[in-house]
Amino acid sequence: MASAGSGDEKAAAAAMITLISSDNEKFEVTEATATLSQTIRHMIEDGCTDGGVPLPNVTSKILARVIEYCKKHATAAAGEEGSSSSFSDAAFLEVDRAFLEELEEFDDAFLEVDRATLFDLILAANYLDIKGLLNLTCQKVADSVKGKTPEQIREMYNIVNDLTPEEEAEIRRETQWAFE
Amino acid sequence: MGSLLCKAFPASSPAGGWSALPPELADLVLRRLSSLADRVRFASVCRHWFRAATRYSAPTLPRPLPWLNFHDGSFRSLPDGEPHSFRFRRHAVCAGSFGRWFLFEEAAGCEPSRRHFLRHPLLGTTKRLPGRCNEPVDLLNPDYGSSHAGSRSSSTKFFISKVIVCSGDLIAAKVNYRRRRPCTVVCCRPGVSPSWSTGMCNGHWYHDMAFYKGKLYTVTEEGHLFVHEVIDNGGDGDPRVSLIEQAIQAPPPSKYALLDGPYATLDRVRTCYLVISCDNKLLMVRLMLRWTVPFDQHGPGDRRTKRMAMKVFEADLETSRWVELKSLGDQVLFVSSCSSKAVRASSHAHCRYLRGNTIYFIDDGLMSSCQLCPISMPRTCGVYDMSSDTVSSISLGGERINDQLKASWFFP
Repeated sequence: MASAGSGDEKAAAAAMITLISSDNEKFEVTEATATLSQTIRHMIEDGCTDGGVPLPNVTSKILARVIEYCKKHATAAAGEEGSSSSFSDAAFLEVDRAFLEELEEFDDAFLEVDRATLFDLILAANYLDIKGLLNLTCQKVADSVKGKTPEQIREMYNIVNDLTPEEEAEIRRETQWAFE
Repeated sequence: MGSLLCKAFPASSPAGGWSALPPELADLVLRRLSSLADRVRFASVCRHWFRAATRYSAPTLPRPLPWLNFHDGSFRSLPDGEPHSFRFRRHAVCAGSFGRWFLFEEAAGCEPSRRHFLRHPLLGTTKRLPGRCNEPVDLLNPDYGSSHAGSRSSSTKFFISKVIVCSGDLIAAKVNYRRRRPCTVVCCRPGVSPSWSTGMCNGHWYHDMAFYKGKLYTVTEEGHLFVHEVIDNGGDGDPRVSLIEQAIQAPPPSKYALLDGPYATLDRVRTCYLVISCDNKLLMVRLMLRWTVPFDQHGPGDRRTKRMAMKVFEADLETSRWVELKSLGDQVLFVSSCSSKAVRASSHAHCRYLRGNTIYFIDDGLMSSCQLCPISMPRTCGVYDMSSDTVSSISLGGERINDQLKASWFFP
């Protein structure tokens, strides 16, 4: 795969970035992995990643998961780019489908987390601006609330109903049909 | 450098947990809910989510997917098939749903007249419509009208086949003054006008009507398009239709509409719908049903093959022509004789339900049009795929629904 890349690209692929979590744990990742985050990509472009990138909003536990996601998706992206030049169209489609299936399986397994972790992943994906991860996690939340009553959703996400009785009565009055 | 990354919002797991989901993230979840009921229940979870839904998301959220309206107060929403119901007022008959509005007919005590009103079932608001309609001017026989000038009689015997709420205080309707008489377009100011305006009758049967760029358009079953100018001086007098002109001639019949030899007049159903596209163009959807009866009556298999074709045309009002569209691109059209709407498949991509370049049709009129046919009943609803010219069943909650459903679209 890498044979298609120029010398510069090879150097970039080999370049390592250090990410520092809020609890001061250091993670060495390739630039290809790190730049799935638009936030980090911009910092690299601005040349201000020497000495590591502090991520004071992300704990080491969550950062490790985020990096796991980025590694997998960065590899898949690199695989797709490389394969387009070295395979015939039919073979490329085959490889492409296999990649997508593997990625979907990875994503499904990746989302098998508790609600608190899911919440932290959404915040981290938003903060690091990782579009794929943000879509994935928000879709997970959307799928989990479909067809559920507000009470079931509250229970699922450990949310206290802080609507005043008046507010709740008002919502119900206008939308009673949705609760029957 | 660190400060750059510290800007956004507080460190993970802020106090309040899920209820403190920032509005822009709650919005990303809401956008993935295509069913109105799911959105409403999401918004009723807690105060934060309520505010996110009503204040942050509401102005830009794509409209939820339509519901199937079974005309008896029961509905099912797309894509999940969740049943909903509204309690209708006693003694009121629902005569149809038009966009977000239901039309009711109510027996008014011992009075012989019927009272019509529109009701927005989600907001619970009502607009009262006139119970009388002036006799229309017959444009084909103008002498007839002049002798009655000034004393044009009005009647309570008229039939509303479509209503459009053009604005808060202007409502247009397609009415038949008497059964089996061509229809006219009339308008009124809800709650104010004592009677619908005097319609003008040009002898045509309009199959559908749309309000487009301030004017009313009607289409015949052949595809002739007429424009109706509305005079509305605000609060000054009642609104009325002042002029009817033919805007576009029907497109020439396509090969699907031509049947062979002795069957040329046997059984052909044509229907036209008007839809405003997502990029604000006036579209006409022409539906044609036909049955082919092979000459070899003893051949194998089903002798009577149903064939259906749908064509979409865009109105070029400058040159007065219908321009056939070979593809709808990303759009999905929902058509029924009560109301039709265009939706972008991409704005509901996450529910993996809609495919672009398709037409969801439902019209039980197709059934009655075919009653004279000596052959099997046609489907009244389905999904027409423009790219393959094939029809499939509508699926709700993963199940295929009956192809001969009596229902129409309701757009919540």
